[in-house]
Amino acid sequence: MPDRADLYVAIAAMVTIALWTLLTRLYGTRARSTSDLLLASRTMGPRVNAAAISGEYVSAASFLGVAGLVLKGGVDALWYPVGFTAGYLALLLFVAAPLRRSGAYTLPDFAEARLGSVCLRRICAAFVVIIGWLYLVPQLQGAGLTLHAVAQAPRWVGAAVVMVIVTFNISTRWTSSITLVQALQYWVKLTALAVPVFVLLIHHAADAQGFRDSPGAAASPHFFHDVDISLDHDVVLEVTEPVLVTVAGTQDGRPTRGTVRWVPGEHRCDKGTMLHFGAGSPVPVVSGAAVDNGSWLRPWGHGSHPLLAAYSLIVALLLGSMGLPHVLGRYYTHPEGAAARRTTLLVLVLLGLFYLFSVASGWLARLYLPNLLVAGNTDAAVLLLPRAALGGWPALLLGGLIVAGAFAAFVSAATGLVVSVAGVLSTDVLPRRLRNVRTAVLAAWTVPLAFMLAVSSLDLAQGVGLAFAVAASSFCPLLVLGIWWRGLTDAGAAAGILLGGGVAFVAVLPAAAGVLPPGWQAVAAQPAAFTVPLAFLTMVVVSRRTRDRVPTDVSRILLRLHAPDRLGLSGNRQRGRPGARVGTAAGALSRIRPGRHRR
Amino acid sequence: MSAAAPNDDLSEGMKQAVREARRETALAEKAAQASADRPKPGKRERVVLAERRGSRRVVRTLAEVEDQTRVGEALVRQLMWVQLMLSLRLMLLTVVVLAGIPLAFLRAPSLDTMTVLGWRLPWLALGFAVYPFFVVVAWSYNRGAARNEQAFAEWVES
Repeated sequence: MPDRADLYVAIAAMVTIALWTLLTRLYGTRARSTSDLLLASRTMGPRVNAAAISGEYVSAASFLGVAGLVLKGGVDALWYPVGFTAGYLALLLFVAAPLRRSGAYTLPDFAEARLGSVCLRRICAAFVVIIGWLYLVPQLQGAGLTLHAVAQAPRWVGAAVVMVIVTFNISTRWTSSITLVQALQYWVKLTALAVPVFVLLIHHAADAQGFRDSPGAAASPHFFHDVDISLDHDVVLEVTEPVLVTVAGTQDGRPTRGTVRWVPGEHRCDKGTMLHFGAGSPVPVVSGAAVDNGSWLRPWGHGSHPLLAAYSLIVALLLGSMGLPHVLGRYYTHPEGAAARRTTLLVLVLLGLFYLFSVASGWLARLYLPNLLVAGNTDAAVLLLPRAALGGWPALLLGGLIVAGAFAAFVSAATGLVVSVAGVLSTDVLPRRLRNVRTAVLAAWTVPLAFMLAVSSLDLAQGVGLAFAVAASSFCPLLVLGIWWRGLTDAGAAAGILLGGGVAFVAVLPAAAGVLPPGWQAVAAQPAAFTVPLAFLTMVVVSRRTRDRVPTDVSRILLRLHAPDRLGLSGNRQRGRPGARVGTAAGALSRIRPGRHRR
Repeated sequence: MSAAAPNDDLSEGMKQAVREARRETALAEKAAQASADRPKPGKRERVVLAERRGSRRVVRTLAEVEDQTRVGEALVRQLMWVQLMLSLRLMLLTVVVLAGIPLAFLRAPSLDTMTVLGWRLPWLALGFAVYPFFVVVAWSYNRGAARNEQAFAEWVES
């Protein structure tokens, strides 16, 4: 039973990682306060911080989704990793150092400190929760998919495993969002992806079966062995060359048992159908994927409005990263603004390194796993790759390593998200008598879990793309204008967030639920090209209209955000005691306004 | 772009801003004194409990920056402007490159099948080359931003 053995190796690897996590936690510095617990003290160097940020950022979408999209969409899918990385460049250019100097720990904190409005704080809190939920759904989907792919477990099992681990982590305070542990997670994930890719590339180079020529030819991919495929959901397959297939189930609306010949065109198969293809037959692919290798290798092989879709995706990913709730909290960990900049530079290096391997594994999957193109579950590509290409013990070990890395990705990203969402829920949203961490954590789980169980049609990377679109249309304008423009008012910020973020959310929700016809799906799933300018414009226009609401001390706040660290103007200072600047090093903005403050 | 350019901008702009703001402040003070005709207040003294590393003296300009006088505000505006221009320049470069890639492939389909060192050009560009490009942009931003801040700090502390 190779599947069972696979699972055992995976479990062993997961247990090792869990133990290691626990040990680092126990022997690490003891947490002294809540913010220590969540983020460790601010004494980490840029290298550790950069690995921690990358570790939390590399989620299911990066670990599984990118390779899956590359397998399906070819060169067009490369925009996803490029965008995921470029987001940090935008964050560096406009946000990193001033954000650190503001001392804000969450986006609502920043909004309230900059514009002094409790109402705006509530709106931001609502959007943090929405974005966090949208981002959590693909993590749970990824976990479900992983255990389904390696052990045929039902989809909810993987999600439940991740939920239990994360909730246990948070509630027993062995929080894995400790900086050091998150940093470790990055290296675990990189190893889990890079080692199999290296082994497979060497194996591939030595393989004499003509694999190497196969993706270069313009023809359809071919099966190299006999394959049996069982479909977990209804699929529409595009066939370019006539193919013989043995069907047990329903195809083209007719119950069929036996061998049929598919002519070029579209063929519909229902859920539960078993298909058998002989070695050497061309691979039919799910509709929406690149049909033949020629179009897979070239840009613009498929899809409607490709340029608009590509630009919209770039906008969303480029500007969305800075608005992700779990990314922002990480910037609080730096000693000063300049360190935040150095860290972000290293994050770009680390993410680029990781995505090289993601793309390589997607490319290998096109060679070894064409059967995923039939079943449509391309996100499983990374997980199934070793078993498809190798065999015996090496496949088992590498497979286990990958599963462990995948779970590290789900757990670390989900922990960061749940901590952010639960933090906001407990301070800003829940009614007063329910305000404790446990209720908040449970509340943070419910909606994404319900959503994950209700729908599962979207690719992981695309699902994450929705969260990016909403973040780019709501928090990006708030941060950029808040940091660089004096004229921003609370009314303007609120209007921009509600309109831009609201429209983006309304657009992506039906896309996430998968209820739209395919033509609309592409436009609605990536609304950022329209909603981001809309949000910026609304903020500027409404702020101009409400000019009298500009905070009176805007100059002081902006000075604090932009003054070089060595002048010491960004830290805690108590007004009324001139010169008494010898406060504690940790400092949120020192103005005390009505509302809650994190110290 | 030359790395020294933003520095010169900053120093020149700041010199001018400081000159103007000081002149205005002096005029305003003079007018106020003449009209109020009250005794000159005692010399203000700053009490500092601890010196920060790197600055030996807390001098007039730093106090001005902190106390949000016109000079201080002019200085901060100038710093923000220079930093923003640096960010926008590099962002523009990035956006032109990123937006140019799909446009180039759409306009010149022959690029699609071109190979460099055995790799298809689109794969090489999007799968590999953009990442070092990002790192170079980020590195030059960090340098530029640090220089601007240093120029500002030196101005304020000198």
